[in-house]
Amino acid sequence: MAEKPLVYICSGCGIGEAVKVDQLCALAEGELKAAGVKAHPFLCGPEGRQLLAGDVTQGRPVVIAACSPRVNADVFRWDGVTVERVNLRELVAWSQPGGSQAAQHLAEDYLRMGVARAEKTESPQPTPVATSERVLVVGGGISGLAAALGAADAGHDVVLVEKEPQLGGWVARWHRLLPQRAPYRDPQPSGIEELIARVTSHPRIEVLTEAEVESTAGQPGDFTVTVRRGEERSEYQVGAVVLATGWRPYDAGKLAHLGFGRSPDVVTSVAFEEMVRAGRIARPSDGRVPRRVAFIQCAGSRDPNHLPYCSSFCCAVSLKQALYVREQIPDAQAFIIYKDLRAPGPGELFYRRVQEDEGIFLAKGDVTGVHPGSDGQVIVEVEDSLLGEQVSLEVDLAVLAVGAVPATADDPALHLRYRQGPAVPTDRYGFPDSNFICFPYETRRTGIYAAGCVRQPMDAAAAADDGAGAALKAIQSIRMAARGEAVHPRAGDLSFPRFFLQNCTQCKRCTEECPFGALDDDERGTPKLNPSRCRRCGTCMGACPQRIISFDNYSVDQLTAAIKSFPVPDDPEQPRVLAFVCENDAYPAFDMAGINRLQLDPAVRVVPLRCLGSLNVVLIADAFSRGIDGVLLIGCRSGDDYQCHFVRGSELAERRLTNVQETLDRLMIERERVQLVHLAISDFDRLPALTSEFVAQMKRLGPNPYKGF
Amino acid sequence: MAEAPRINPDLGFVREIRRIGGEAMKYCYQCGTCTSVCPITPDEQPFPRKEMLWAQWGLKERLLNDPDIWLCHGCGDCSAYCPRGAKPSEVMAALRGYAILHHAVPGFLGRWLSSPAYIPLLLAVPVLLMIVGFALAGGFSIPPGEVHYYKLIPFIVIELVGNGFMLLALIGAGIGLRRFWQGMNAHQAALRAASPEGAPAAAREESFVASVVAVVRDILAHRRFRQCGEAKPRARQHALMFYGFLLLFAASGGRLIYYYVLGSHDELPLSDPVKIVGNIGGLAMILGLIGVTANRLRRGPGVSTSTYFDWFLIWAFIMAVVTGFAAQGVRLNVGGAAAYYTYLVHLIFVFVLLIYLPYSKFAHLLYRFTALLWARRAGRELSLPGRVTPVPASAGAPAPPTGATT
Amino acid sequence: MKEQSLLVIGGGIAGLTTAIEAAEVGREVYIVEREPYLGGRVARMSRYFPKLCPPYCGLEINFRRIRSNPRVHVFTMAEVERVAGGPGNFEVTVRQNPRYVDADRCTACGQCAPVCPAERPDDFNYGMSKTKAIYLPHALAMPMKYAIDARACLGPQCGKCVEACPYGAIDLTMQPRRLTLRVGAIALATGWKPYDASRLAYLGYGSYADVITNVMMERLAAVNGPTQGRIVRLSDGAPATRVAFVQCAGSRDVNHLPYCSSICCLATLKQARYVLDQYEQADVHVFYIDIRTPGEYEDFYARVRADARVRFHKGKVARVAPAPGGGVVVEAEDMLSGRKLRVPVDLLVLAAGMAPEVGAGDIPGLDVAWDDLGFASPLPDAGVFPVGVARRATDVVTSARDGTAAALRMIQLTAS
Repeated sequence: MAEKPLVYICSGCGIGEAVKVDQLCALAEGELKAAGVKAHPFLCGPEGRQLLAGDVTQGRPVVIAACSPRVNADVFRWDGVTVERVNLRELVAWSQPGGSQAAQHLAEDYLRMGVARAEKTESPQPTPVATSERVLVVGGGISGLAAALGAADAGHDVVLVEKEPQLGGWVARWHRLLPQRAPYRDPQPSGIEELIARVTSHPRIEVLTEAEVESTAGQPGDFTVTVRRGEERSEYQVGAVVLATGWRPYDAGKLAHLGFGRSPDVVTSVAFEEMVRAGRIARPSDGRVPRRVAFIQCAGSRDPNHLPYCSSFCCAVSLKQALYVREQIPDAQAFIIYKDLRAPGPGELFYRRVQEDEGIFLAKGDVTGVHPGSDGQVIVEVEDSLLGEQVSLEVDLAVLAVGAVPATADDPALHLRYRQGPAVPTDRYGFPDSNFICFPYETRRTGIYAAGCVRQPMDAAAAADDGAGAALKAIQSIRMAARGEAVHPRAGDLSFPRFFLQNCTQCKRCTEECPFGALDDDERGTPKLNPSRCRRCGTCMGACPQRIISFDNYSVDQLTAAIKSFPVPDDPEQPRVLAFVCENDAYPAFDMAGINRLQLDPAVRVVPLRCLGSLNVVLIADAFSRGIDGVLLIGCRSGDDYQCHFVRGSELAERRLTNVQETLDRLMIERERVQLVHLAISDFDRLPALTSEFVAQMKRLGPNPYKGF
Repeated sequence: MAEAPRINPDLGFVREIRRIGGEAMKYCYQCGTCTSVCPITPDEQPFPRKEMLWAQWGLKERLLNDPDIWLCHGCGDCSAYCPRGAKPSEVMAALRGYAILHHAVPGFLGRWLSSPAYIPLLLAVPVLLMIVGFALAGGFSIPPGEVHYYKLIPFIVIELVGNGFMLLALIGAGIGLRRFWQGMNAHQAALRAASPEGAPAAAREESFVASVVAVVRDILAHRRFRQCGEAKPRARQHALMFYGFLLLFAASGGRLIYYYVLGSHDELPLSDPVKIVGNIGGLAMILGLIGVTANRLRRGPGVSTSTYFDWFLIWAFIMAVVTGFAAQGVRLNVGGAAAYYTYLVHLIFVFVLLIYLPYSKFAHLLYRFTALLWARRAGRELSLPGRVTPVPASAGAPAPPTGATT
Repeated sequence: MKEQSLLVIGGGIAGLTTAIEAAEVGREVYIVEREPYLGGRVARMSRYFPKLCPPYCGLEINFRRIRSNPRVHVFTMAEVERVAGGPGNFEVTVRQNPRYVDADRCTACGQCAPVCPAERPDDFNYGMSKTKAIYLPHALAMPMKYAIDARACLGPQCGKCVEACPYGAIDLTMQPRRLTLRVGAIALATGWKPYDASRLAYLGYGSYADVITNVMMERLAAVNGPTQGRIVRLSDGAPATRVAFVQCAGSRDVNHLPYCSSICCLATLKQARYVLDQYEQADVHVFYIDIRTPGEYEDFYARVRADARVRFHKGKVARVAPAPGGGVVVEAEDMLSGRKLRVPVDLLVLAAGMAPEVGAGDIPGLDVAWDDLGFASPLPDAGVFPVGVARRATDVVTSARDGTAAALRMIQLTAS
């Protein structure tokens, strides 16, 4: 057990008016047996800081009972000193009527919990992982090339694995790229040859073509990758991975209604581009130069029967290809039939420029069918068009603007040797699941970053940027693993879960539930942590029925101690409610309620958690056995639009709650005593009603039957 | 299943419309700002957005039979607000110009009016007529004595030759208008077939004569033109020219009464009521023309374009009116040969203005009248500002999934 | 020897991402932000599309990353005055404008504001509400410190806040100061401002109180906005159940912004959801040219479209008239049904586009290429990397990508 803490109580910002600070000091000195107690009217000010600087010593925990831990983090931070913050300002002084007995009790209980936590907190000892600084880039298309070059120029060795014989991917097969610079008028050469040359000649980059990743094992800073080239296998140690395996065109064979396969003169936009690059636009059926070419947008995209999403670049590509037609065939006509013409950003200028051409015809409409005509022509049927309810076009060649399917929809690519399977988890369309929208690079496999069209459909220039961004994330994860720090979202956290394996029953819940696949099984079947894969969310800690998983500074034991630290009155008019809250979203919402001086029910004691997923149900049992009348779990939205930064935390909490409720039934405790609420960070205005209604409900239910036992 | 109508762009038509004033039309991206700002479009099948699409796509047949290009009065609000700078107002004007030439009978006269290259030819016709006339009459000589223009060319000759040509021109115009009327009917039927839910309102129950009277009343009142927002002065200028022209027309009629009823050949004194009416009409024309010309010069190419087609009519008016005043002024103040020569020049420009009427922009008075009449009978009324239309429930219904093979 | 420190101009989502990503690799990074708080435009959004999650959530994570990372140095209320030197060794002059509140002493206790006699329009709420001259920018402000708006403050002769502050944090005589930063590379993350809607008078903005812009709608929907999240008519405060959105209000328009602002369609879909979620009897109309919801955003469009209370009309509004009883009547062609509509609504929301906040010449010595649209692109080997909307109109995800990519390029450039 850690030493008894020093306790500092600030009476500023209204705390001194709301509660009796001298009584808090007496509590800390007496009941809590603090090693020292001081009150100060302005603890974060220069005098307060001076006072603290003179007192704090290595190894002795400090409890700061003042404002929210979300402010003044830099003021109350000393190297090698465990600091526990007790939020008397936002959670008490600013959200309770001043001078009330209830507020005093609340403050005292928060102080008790803070001291209890401090006593159960160790300074975390980092576990650096730094075997290799090399970056593996899988996929030699434009994003892979950009990632490889970026990482190499930043000083990292790179292995670039490409399954084709040449680098360059799709871009190398394009005639021109979309214009990328003002005035955004003319399609431009891709310059991919130069990029390939820079990559192949870079001393830090090893290029493996006709190669595939056969397996990937290990963790950031220490991956072991087996690459197969023909029959030959080689092993590479790498620190992080950029997954840039790109896309494939949607299978046009499934687009028979758009004439594919029914007429040789119905081709995909990819085939058309290659035709142009080869030098001559001609009808596959008879080699004649087409006079009229139709471009059919959303061929497979935005279609619930095929790809429900939009493939983003097809509109601009068809605009570009219509220009090819007009440039190469005098007096030709090019038609573009679109649902919505999507040329965002400066793409609008390119769109307008294409429209200048008298031989390019654009119209909104739904293409309902494409079929061969009687004399070798292709007939395009259009409905709901602005040209008429039902019209048709007779053309010589129809080009289907086919959508993009991420490579990860077909192939796990990295063949991870992870307990949770070989693939990077994807969304329903096969794109790697990410922490959309703020942190788009964060996949659910630490140290592995998707880039380019495998991540989202995007044009070539965006894919190059995306490669650079993913390379940065790869380098960053290598550096952070080497320092033993967590990556996003608990960046810099040095703690990691420890397993008291003697008591492990090998139930596998932790390994299965970890949202990031950080845990494998060791030879004996017990969980094996890969520390640098771990994001420190504590989902494993919440999952473990044996309570054998804990962090140095965050554990079931610590939380239990906090819950057990304060007295629960028997008075039915003074119920006690525990609110376990997500510290990223719900906790700041409590703070903002305080900042806005919203009044919260004094029966509620807030216990922040790293994530609702880290809530071990034993804590709920502990609470009830202590006589707590009700438990609120406040976390982020789950489901398709999940907002949990650990992806699955709140979802897992919900699932565990159903089990808890069965247990409650057995214990004859009303189910309503535990409720899970989704609360976004900005929903602070809901907190007064939310807490008071819950407390009122507990009053109606009457005291917890276990109270007093 | 019946074969859907085939769309066949006419690239030549696209080029021609772009050449004669609609060069920016391909920029249109179908936002409908133009129809929204247009103060004089009907609510059902409004213009000019659909005309822009048809013009971009070179759908010549639809446009030539489209009454809406004539319902448009060229206010220019659409061009001012068009986010693409596609200038719908100018495109509509170009379409009207093209339609006049297209409907022209005989067709070659239409071509003559379409390019400045033909100006010498246009002038040569009346000059040649005069040469032939004087040759037949036994030569040209300036009559002695007080200037009375009948001395040079008898009124009866002017009447016969002028009205003869007018009659031919009007026959040509009549054939063109008849085709146009039938074309509008066919166009309407095609639209109905293509878009049943958006079909125009039912035909108006009203006698033909009543419709004519109503349309004439509207035109006299400039009811549509007055709705224009962006180019308010244009309605005033048009009214000046319109009524000026009517007064001149009335004065000519009065002059004929003197001639045929009273047998007076002499030029009338300025104080004569007929002269007064004519001079007022001429002055109104001049004021209107000054306004129109200034307007077109001021607007500049950034906002709207004035084409040869526009300028031809303006100049024909200017020349006819200016030479008319000149003929009067020279007669009263100088006299002699100068007066007679001025008079001949005036006759040439009156000929140009009136005989080429069905082929110049002047024909708009025929086509617009016809289109307004047709529109009135078809129930295509001017929309009233501020009226609230219920939104059809279908407008927001989810799009049916596409891709199902039918 | 190249300077290893990096400068990020602008503390919005693009700048924050750039700075934090670079700092977590191990670089020292300076953020120079003109406003008194970080977060930029996104801090003023109520929710993000497509998840309808609050931007505060991601900002909180980013702020925590900054708080726990000593390598990030933030200057708020600061502007870059001049850039000298070149890639690898820039010398940047920063003007630190006076906050009049000592950040080391202010605890955000809030005792100052109630005594302040002067008011200012709250630009955080786009002028729809007022704050005192001394104010906390917003509830999640980083840094959580008050600031004084010198334009509104009555000056030292008033001094009421100075007396009220228990911590001696207020100094009304504070002067601007200059500091010089030596950095190896610069990210330009100066972001955007809403297109000036007063130039859209034909859509009724400025004439009718119930015609607002999309950024104002964000504030109306925000719990910490001027109406505490109630979507109402500004004219009389009545619930705004009938709401129309005009897409491309200023964007895709040669008379205004010739480019597409990329985000307005999605912003409108999101704001349609605000109305649908708030009012059972909602009646929403979206007037559009093309609905642009690329990638998986299409799912969001499909979901909003599935609600029968939202109707989409292909056709842009160009005439707006006052409606009897409040609100306005909007007029547009619904081209798929071939008729002109006049729809009475309580609120008309102009989906106004994004214009770049900073342009050519605003920062002397900054070596980037400015295009005719007002956006910046990098010059070869200049060491200055435009990110986010400084580069082109784009969304949060792309800004985050830009920032991450720029962090790499800056590190690449200054790698020893």
